[in-house]
Amino acid sequence: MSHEPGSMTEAMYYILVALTKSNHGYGLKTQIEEMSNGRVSMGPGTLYGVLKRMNQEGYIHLVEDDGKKKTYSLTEKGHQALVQEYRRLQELIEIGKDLESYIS
Amino acid sequence: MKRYRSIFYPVSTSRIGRIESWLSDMALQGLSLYKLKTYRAVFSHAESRQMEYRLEYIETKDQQEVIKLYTECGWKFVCSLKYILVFCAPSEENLQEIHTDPIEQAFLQKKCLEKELFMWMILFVLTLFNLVFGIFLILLPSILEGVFTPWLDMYDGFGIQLFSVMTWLILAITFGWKFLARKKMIRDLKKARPINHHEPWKKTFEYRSIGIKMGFLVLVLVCYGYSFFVIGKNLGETILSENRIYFKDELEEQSIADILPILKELEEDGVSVYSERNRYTTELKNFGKPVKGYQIFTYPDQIWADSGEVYSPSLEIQVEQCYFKWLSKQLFDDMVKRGLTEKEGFQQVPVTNSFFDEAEVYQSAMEFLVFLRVDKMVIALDYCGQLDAKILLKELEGFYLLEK
Repeated sequence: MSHEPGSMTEAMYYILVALTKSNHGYGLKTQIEEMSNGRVSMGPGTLYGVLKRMNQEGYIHLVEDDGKKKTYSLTEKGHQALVQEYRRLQELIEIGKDLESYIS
Repeated sequence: MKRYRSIFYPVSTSRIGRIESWLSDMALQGLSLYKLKTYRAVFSHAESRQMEYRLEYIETKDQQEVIKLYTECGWKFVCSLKYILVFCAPSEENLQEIHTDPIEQAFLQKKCLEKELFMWMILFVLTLFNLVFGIFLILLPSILEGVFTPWLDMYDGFGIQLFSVMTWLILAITFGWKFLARKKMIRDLKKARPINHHEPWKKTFEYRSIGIKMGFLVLVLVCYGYSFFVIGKNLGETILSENRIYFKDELEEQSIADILPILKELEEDGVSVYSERNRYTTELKNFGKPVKGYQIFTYPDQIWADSGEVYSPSLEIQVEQCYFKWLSKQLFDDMVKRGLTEKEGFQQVPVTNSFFDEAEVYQSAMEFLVFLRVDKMVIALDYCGQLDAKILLKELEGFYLLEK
């Protein structure tokens, strides 16, 4: 099932961005906080829920499970969904550029 | 002082916010959660402290991963019970919430609830099976006897089986109620309404009804044990024994040569033949059942003979008594129905009766069938003789007074 543009939550987007390099649960949490300059701080329950759901939906997959930590990485579907979402957000920014004069 | 203290949940564990709030209040009273059990929580005595508790419903296969992740984020794992994990942290640490997105939490809860729903469905199917099986067992003896009125057999103890089915249904409904509470919580989460971890709690009906639930549980066990005993016993009797007779299909015919020596012997012993009764009670068979009954065979002085020099015992009385008066009408109807089964040529005789609550008389060329109901007692009579219906009823009034 392909990803529907606009259906991605902010949490999902951040996780997909963070998983462009393989990472594990707690590592992802800190990475997302760094990326967003502390604006986005995902609770461990939310992080776990999103990871579980995205894994089931095939956006990410488990690359390593040493019993202590589970390391995840993007799948092809996840990669495409990320690119699609990124382009969609870019388009939104482009549209919003015209608003600069209106705001100022 | 005891090291641990066990307290019943004031509300169902499906009410996450209220339970969390209750656990925090307990910690403030110096009771730190130690263990969760089905109906109660076990606390250890500790220093009074403001604590935050969080209940998480997590599939069992993922629990280790979740414990690790949450612990890394500062939450302390306390204990678990099936799908429930409990974490805590001192309030002053002001830790980040476990769930920062209610919608994502709703997805997680939904997954776990689907697993629980499966368990609940199994329980429901078992209940349904129990119900169908119970009804089948109620009908079985009737089918084996070729009489399709199940009522006597229901009185006979299969009602107990029905009761146990009802109890199972109550349990299934209780689980269903919890399931619906969780479903409502998920709906709220989907609407971005987070769980209120400090939701005021008070002792609900669930808390007060724990005693009732426990009582029900004991009853279920007793009923099950007893019903299987009764079922086994009744089935054994139905299949193997000839004792299970409510009505004799036909009166045994005996020659006068067989009867006369008996009568003579009785008279020699100074026993009036009329008052002597071959009477047996079936109390053992009816042990614990709502109907107590017995049969009486009596040989009145008016022995009736047919032209073939064959004599019949002229009176056969069956007395059944309900424990509950409101059942006696049903028992009466059933006994009439059973009494007339496989009997041919019987016509109802109109009778005037002011003594019994109900009276029906049926007559064939040689035989009377009389059915009487008074208070909780139902009397069925099979009479072969020369008395007419009116006199017969009068005689039976005397019989009833004697029995009373």
